[in-house]
Amino acid sequence: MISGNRGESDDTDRMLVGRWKAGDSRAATELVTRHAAALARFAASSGERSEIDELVQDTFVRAFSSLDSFRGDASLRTWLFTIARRLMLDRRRAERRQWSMVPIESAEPSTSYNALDSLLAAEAETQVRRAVEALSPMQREVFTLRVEQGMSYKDIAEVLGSTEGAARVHYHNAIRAVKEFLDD
Amino acid sequence: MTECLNEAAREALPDLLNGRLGEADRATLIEHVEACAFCSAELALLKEVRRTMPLAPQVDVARIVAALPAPAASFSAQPDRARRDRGESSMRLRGRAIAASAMAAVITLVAGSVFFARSGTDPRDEPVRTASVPVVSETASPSAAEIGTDSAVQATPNRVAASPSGVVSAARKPASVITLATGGVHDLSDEHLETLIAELEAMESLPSAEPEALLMDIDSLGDRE
Repeated sequence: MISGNRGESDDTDRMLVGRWKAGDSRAATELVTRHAAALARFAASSGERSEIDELVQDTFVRAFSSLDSFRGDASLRTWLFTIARRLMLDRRRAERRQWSMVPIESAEPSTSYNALDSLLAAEAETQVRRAVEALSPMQREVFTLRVEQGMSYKDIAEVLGSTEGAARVHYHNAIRAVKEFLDD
Repeated sequence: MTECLNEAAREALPDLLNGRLGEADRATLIEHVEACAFCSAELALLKEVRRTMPLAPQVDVARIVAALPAPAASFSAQPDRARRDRGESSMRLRGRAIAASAMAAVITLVAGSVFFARSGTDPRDEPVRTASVPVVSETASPSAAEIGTDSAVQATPNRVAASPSGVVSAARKPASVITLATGGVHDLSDEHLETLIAELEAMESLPSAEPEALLMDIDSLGDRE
């Protein structure tokens, strides 16, 4: 059985949380640095287009305000993702807007491809994005967390308030749907 | 293309992509992928999906950290981990001891005057000579703690022993008794101060009513004279 290797990362998080509780402010900086980018990517992949930095900040503020209630059963990152997801849902309820997947412009510098190669590459990227956009919200979330974040099904279930089995089914249905979309 | 029957290998492809496999597992899976067209194609698709996922904006870590609440146990004046590891500074200990002593002095005034009036012993023979600060023992209990100016404190009521002068003296060794002279907190070691603070805090939790044992001791002392 092939298994993930995240024990050391979780131990580091627990150690940093302990240091922060004891008054070491540098531990907070380390914790934010470790998880902020992943939270931002999760928010962007989930359809958030604006004020992602505010969302990430709110996630950390809420998490640190209730670190005493964090028992360490799940990883800290999973817990942070759970908080971020709830904040996103609250946002959408408050703003009553449709969940959309408008791609964010790439910040990468242009390559040395010729014009045709660029066009083909862009088209392929667009097709892949559309394939993911076409997934159901739950399939998209599971697929994003599994592929982009490499989360285990157990952690995905924790974030989404679902079960491991359901997360597994959603993932396999998602990848099958993406393949079918691209084959069409 | 025939679907791969190795469920474990397919399940682990996202882990391989995100570098979350141990060396041995990684090598095993790579070997499988190189031999399996289905898994090779699926891994390529996952890489493409990951590459085309929306980029997230840069996150201002410093701004987020500045917005975080302070931990409940934060020593805001002591961010240095080395200082935290050594424990509270002597100055902080003495400050707390003085504050605790001031509080206990109020209690001292009630009963201490009785002992002060009865005292006739040489200060060098007694652990305590102060009129304004309490004497505490290792284990403070309502019946054991004698707030007195010229008396040492007993650890347990059973060990109270009256000297010929009528002053109750400590049955324990001095090491287990913390004594204070007037303004003497500055002379105490950090270890003694910590013990003093712990015992004074234990006294804070005592009932506000005068302990019966204390009253009993006063009576018994009066009989001896």
